Amino acid sequence: MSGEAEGFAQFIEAREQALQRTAWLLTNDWALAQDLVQTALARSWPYWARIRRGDDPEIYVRRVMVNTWATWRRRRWRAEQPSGVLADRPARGDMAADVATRFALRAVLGALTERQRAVVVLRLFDDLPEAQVAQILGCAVGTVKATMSQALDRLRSDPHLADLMDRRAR
Amino acid sequence: MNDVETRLTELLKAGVGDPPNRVSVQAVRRKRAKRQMVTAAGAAAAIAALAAVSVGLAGRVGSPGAAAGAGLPAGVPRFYVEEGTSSGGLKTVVRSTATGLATARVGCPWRDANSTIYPIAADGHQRFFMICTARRHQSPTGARIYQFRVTGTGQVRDYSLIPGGQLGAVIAGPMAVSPTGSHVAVIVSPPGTGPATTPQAQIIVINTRTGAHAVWRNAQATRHAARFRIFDISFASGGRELAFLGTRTCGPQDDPPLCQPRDQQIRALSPAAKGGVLSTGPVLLRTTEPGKARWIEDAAVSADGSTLTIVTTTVPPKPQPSTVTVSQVKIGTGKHRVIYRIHGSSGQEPEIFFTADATGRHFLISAGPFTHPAVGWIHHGQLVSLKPFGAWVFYEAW
Repeated sequence: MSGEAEGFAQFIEAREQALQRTAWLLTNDWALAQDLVQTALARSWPYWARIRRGDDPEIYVRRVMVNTWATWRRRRWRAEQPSGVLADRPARGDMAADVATRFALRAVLGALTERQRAVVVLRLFDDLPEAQVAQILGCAVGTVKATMSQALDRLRSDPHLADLMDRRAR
Repeated sequence: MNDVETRLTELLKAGVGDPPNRVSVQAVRRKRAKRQMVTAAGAAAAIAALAAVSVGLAGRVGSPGAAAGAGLPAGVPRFYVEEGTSSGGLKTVVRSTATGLATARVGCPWRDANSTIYPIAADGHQRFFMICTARRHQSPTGARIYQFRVTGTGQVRDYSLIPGGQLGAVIAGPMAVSPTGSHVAVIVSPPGTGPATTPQAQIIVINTRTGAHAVWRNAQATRHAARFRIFDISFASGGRELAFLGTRTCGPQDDPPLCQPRDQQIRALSPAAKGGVLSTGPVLLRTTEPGKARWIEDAAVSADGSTLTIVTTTVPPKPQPSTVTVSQVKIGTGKHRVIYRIHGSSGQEPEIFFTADATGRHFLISAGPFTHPAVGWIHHGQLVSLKPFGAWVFYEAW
């Protein structure tokens, strides 16, 4: 395996879980999230030598991922929904709380626009600084701040989030 | 971070959970391979769509060989055949005159692995004649003349070997076709020579219906006999005359006043005759200009036989550029007018290719410096560039 290929494999090994979580928050579907991460990595691989020379390869991969997700969202036809597992499977204990949380979270994120959702996920979940979020989304830092502010304004009055917070507080 | 942000962050992290499956390098590789296949298929589909559009555009231009429609003046052939490097490597393709797009690739139908195509000539109805030459170690082992038709959408159809089209192991070309396609004339010369380098070259006129050959050759090498190296041929007067451009060769016993080394002549032959001696044909044009560096590179006669179109070059001393001039001479009056001129590189012979259609009124030209020649067709003194023009045009016909 060449040095480039080895570095790419190490990056996948180290970061695929984090990337999948971000992808899930964007897509609300683990299979779609996995497909999104694979697609972003496959698109990044031809340019890996150049990407690796940059400051942070993950920024580039995340940017590809967000752009790919935005492209998928814009498609009228969403193609098939890829899934690695059968839809029906045995439950693992009491999953009611987790399901309720995810259902509410899905509704909360679903209330946001594409860009607001991306900013919230990258800024709060991935804990990226505003400058890096701006770099990923290809916009100005001020735009990130404004988008974040608009998203929070919308979420403050969202009943799902209030319900979710109360549930977590209890 | 304010309260809402803090709580939202906690909820995001609590809600996301762990991915059920891992993303592996192998999965990414498979994805990459799939993407490449899809991209290739998409590119092929795009090319097919583009070809369909170009064919559609070409189909709206007009009917073959007749008055063209949008984008082309009346009478200009819709398609031309180009042998050149414009498509990457030496290839022979059919191109749309209006768009320059290649609509078909021309192959040699002769099943010989080492066959090459040269030259191609056309009648007035988009029927093209091509010579396939088989070679072994660069030497010709056989030459055959095929014909094919270009359809209204620029596709190649109906390949066939013409009657009398088997020429044997010769160097064949240039070639000319009468406007009706009834006769094909081709210059042939022995292997290891070329038509422009030896007086042994002959003009063979083939009746495409019967396959009969009429051979025109130089006179025996005797004192004062006019012998020629042959540069080009073209039909005139509706196919009733065949004009050739030749340069007098000077034998060791020739007197300089009678034989100038740059004595160029255009003479007419009768293609219906059974052949004969080249020098028996009447002289249409003679240019003996001692001391002047003007040289007739090519010539074509109009279908009615009234006008000669000649391509001349001058290579003056540096730093003046070489010049390629296309001019027309009225055969009856000798009246001369320049219809197009292009400058080449200083002190260098320009590269030139020139041909006329069956009417002798529309001209394809590639001329100028070798690195960036002007390629197009001449219309009212203007060069209409053919798009995309190639780096180097070897031969063209329309």
